[in-house]
Amino acid sequence: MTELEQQLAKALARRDAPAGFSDRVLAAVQQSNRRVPWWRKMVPKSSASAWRLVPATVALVIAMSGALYQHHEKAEEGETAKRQLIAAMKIAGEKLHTAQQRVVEIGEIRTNEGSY
Amino acid sequence: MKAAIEGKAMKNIFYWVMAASLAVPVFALEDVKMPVNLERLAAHATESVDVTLDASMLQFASKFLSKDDPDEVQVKKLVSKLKGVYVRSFEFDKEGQYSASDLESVRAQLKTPAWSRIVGVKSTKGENSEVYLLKHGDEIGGLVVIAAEPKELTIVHIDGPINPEELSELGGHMGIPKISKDGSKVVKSPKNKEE
Repeated sequence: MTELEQQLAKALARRDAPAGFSDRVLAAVQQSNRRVPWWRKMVPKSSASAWRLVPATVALVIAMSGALYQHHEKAEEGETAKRQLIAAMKIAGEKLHTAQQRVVEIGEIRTNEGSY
Repeated sequence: MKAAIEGKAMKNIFYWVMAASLAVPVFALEDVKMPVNLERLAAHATESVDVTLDASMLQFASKFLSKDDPDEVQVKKLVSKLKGVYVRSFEFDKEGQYSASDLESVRAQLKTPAWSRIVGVKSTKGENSEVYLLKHGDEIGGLVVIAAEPKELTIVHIDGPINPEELSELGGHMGIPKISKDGSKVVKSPKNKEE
């Protein structure tokens, strides 16, 4: 065996990994997996796949706009109903008050007539 | 045997029909419908208010009432048990735009034993007020106010339980002055004081 062969055999000799090496490798792999944001995993890697998402995105935007419009319409209806309710209660209160006042006035007139 | 069973079934059906036919008029006696002929008054009116809020609309509207505004809190409390609020109000620029017959169909509905007139004021100036209550034992199940003035006509129907305290609390809120318990003084509401 030549000197070169001896050096090669020594350099390529099978050696056991240092203690904790496999744990460190697994931890590093997990760390690198965590660094990828969730949305990036959803983004298609090829442009062909990206184009396939367009109809779904458009449908989602339309659905969201519809939901927002419905919410707005419902809020408008609610505000109108609220205004009507307040107006109705105001009128009811005013008319009851007027009736009550007239009864009181009649009572006062009768009391005054009785005292003279 | 078969004839006996059929006879019993027929008897049951007869009782159910009888019970239903008796129940319908009882509900009908309490029900007040705003007359359709009032709608034509809106054409002559300078200002008209037409409010029709049934139970579901009342609940819907009350969701939009503020929790901070005391007036709206009061209204919310008041309408929580109500089944409906109906208002027809017309203001005219001249007298004689409506006739007594326009109110007859409302009054006719209130001439049932279920309803009792608690206020009926007629003045020489033509300013008349009537208040009718629907009584369910000790509780009030509804209220109708008819206010007829020469240039103004208002009919209010509040359907549902209102206790007298809540009723009187209508005054003193929403800018409406409140009559004190002795009836002699008019206590202004905080809103009026600010004005």
